[in-house]
Amino acid sequence: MIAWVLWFFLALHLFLLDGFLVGVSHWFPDLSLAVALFCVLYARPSALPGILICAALSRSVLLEGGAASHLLILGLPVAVLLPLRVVFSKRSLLWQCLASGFLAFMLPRLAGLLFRLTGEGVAGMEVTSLDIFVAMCVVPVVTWLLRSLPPLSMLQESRQ
Amino acid sequence: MFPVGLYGTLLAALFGVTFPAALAPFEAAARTVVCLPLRAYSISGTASPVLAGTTDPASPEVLTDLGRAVMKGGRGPKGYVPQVFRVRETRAGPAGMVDELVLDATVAELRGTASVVTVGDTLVGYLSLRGSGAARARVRLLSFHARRDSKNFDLQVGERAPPRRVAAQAPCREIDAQGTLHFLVEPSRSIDPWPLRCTLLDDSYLASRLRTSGGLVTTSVQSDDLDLPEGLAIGRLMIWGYPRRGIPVGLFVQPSVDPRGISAVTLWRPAGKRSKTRLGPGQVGSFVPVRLSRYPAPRPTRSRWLVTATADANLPDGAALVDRGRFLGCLHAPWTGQSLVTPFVGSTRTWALLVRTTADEVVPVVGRIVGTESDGQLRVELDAPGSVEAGELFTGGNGPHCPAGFYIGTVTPGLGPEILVRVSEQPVLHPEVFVLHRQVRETRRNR
Repeated sequence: MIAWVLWFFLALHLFLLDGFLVGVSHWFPDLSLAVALFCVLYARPSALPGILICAALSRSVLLEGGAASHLLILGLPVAVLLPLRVVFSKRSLLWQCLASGFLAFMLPRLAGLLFRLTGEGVAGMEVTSLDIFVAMCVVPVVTWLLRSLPPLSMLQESRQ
Repeated sequence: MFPVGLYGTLLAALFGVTFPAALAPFEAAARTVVCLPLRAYSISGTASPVLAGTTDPASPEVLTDLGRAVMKGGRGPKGYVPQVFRVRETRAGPAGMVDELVLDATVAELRGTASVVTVGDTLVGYLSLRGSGAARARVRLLSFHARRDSKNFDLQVGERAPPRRVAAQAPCREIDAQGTLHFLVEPSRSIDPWPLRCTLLDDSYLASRLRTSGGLVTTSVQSDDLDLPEGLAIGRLMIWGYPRRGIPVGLFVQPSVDPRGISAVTLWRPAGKRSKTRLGPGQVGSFVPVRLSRYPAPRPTRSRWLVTATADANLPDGAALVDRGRFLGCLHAPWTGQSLVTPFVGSTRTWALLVRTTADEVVPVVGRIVGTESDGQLRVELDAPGSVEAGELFTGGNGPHCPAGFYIGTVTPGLGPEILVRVSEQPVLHPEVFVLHRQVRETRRNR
């Protein structure tokens, strides 16, 4: 319960930190990617809806669009990659990098698609190959940091 | 293990995107709780100061010029004089396109007014005075589609229903240098590519010779409505099909005026029955001082603001946030006296705007911000590319609580359908939210 309360309020601060870091350096990748990668690789399946709903709600506070559209933007790529947990080892660095690249490619495109369909939310941003490469390098490290700290460390799958 | 919860949540999210109103109360409540830390931070001294007193920040010159532009070249029935009325809000029809305007005047005020409604020299629709005397008068655009609720009204004896079809004409010079094609213009179906379509052509052979789109469609002699003058513009004739191969499948009309950008219309009133024109925001509403806090936000918004009402005031959804005449943004889903605001510079929505050129002419445009130049100028892509000269940019009518006339910045023509906007970067010292008089009265009553 404590983990959920912490995540409910800290998710917003994570995205505030994202906004601050983007102001410092243009190259810093979106922290939503790290949350999505955590959901794909490490989160308990039963905790996935809660993690994503809190993240979507916090994103809707700081970005345009409703929580439902942000939930789809974050949740659909997670739903696509989640079945691959049984195929790939979560310790594989290559798989972490590939999943990060996929998320960095898909999230802005999904946002753009939903913006075109509904007329609300975040218009899709242009993502260059360099942006995807940077995300492949940085997002696994940020995800490691996130899952090492509470509250997400309390919401990850047990290791056995 | 199959993650039932995740897929169920995504289905619920899909429902929420399709029917946003269904989940809006829950979302607003949850967002208020999430925003509690932000509210606490704003109290702790990071917010902008709130100065005493309010001002009318709208620019009166642009509203005068807007009124002049809306009346310029217009013609109405004989014995009637033009008067400009503010458009309070626009309403989308079943096809999702704006086809009805709600005016800032009641039905009782406009009794006896001619049904013709013009913007400049263009016929845009017909006045609809249905409902009780206190109800808002509406303008049904030529592309109007009936709604379910439009059948539930008190029909009064002798009341004329707005016609669904307009007799029109367009030049057709392929055979005869003086050739003119006559037809009726009616609302098109949602599947059609343009809002109006041509029907009952008087000469199908002549129509089959049409090769190019773009001919000006004007009103013709109306056998059933003598109040509608001949020669008012309607739009541009558009050919759908294979005109170069001699197969024009359908004829449509693209209206001259984008209904999303209409901030004021001309009504034709009996001479001697003119009332006071209320175009300025200060005449229909007032300004509530608020406390504003800025927070960093992820890309592409970069910045998000939280406004908190200092007095016990209801903040309406979509209300304009202004600072000493300068437009800052629109409120989004306010709740318990606080609201989130995306700054205009970081917004992605489509805006109705007014460009006031150096020759004091006002051009209404519709567009959205698509990027930023290296020198900080905003790139605004217009929906209907036209020749926009350099000048100043103001808000158009963007809903009942975001009226026309708030200053945004300076504008210069850009590449293709874009204009470049430079917004003022002065510090925000006196943030205020525009609230309609009716809303203020309701707040006082609730106390």
